[in-house]
Amino acid sequence: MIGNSTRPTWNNLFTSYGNIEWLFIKISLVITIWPGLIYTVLTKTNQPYPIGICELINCASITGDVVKYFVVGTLVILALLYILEKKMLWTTCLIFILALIIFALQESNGQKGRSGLLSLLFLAQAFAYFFKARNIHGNIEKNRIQFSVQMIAAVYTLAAISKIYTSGINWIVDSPNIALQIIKSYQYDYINTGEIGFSEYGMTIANWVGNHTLFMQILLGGSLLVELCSFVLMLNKKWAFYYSFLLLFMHIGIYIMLNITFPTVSNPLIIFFMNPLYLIFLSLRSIYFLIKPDKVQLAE
Amino acid sequence: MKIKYISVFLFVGYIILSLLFNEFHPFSKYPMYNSFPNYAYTFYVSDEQGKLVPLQGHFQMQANELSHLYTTICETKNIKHGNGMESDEELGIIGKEMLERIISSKKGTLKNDSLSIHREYYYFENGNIIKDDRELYTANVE
Repeated sequence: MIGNSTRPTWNNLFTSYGNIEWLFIKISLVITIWPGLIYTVLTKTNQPYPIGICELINCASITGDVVKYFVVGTLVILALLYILEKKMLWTTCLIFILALIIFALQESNGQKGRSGLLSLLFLAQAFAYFFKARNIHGNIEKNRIQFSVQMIAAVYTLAAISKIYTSGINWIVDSPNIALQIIKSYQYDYINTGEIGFSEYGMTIANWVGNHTLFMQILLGGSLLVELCSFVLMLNKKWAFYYSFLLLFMHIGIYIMLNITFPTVSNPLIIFFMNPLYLIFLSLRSIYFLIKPDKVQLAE
Repeated sequence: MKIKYISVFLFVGYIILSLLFNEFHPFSKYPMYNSFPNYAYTFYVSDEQGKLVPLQGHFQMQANELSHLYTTICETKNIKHGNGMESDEELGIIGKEMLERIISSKKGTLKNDSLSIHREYYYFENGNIIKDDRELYTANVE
């Protein structure tokens, strides 16, 4: 049952959406997204390859000598308003607009970060607060998380559709060619650091993959299925929690094999479905009440 | 059987709009590794002796960003790329622009008088992985 104000307990983890749980999601989003936003504003002074909204406006105008500090200050203030749950409809809308422009500016510098999801999370939350303001269906505690979940599930589904549309069954059949991508990924580390060991290690993994073709085909087929069935994330919290581990294992496998990460997708996955800060909080809370059983558990 | 109502309008809406708009930020089909072609490119910078100059500590760009930059330049200039199909002239044009951007991102002063940008082209041939290292462009460091 979904409650409006819920005690943060292990029993409620899969049955409700609490305010403290939401607070830790917000804090995690700010910690993982804001540094990238601020870095882009302070370092990107032009947009040589405009994409998205930067084709329509000069996104680099927000990185002018004085303007950029105003933008950074605005980002900081919005972060505080966001965490403190103040004027959330306006706050999430403004964060979405700024994040959209800044991430588009980043990609307009030739850096394809696939960061669209990060700005869309705030648009999804803005929808939730808009529904609350208009007294439209559902409750805000659920919608502000569930709407964001929909965006994350959509991203994984799109990735699966893209693989099926572009390669079809060949995505699994052509798996030996993944050895070239493995070499490329580890070569990146060599090019960045000058350490030849990375290049040699990449060749070792590539050779192993080349000698285990069937295993790789099964692995790739499984990961494609996991992405395609990401709609499961929207069914309920319990399904989402356990299914998110399948997606996380997929990311871990990609990191081991290809030495690459997709933080713009994996970070929201971890934050919304596992919420590690909240789990740590629950653990510490449980330990505290074990040590002091006479203390009354206060409601949120 | 009671059917539980699940809101999916954003899920459906974003998928449809991304398929319609293709790659128009924030809409994307997330095409990363949606195929495994028989080629891979990496790019590196070398000094006058042809020795690799590590990006870390010298430039604000990283190796994966160089690959993205290559693709972006090709798309901007309508140059068909991949599978080693680029002509020498096209590689020179691309290399010049890439090197200019790399040098503009340098951290502090570089000791080198000139730098070169190389492309490593990996591909399978008769079951063996072949590497073709080609110098794209050389420029003086001002």
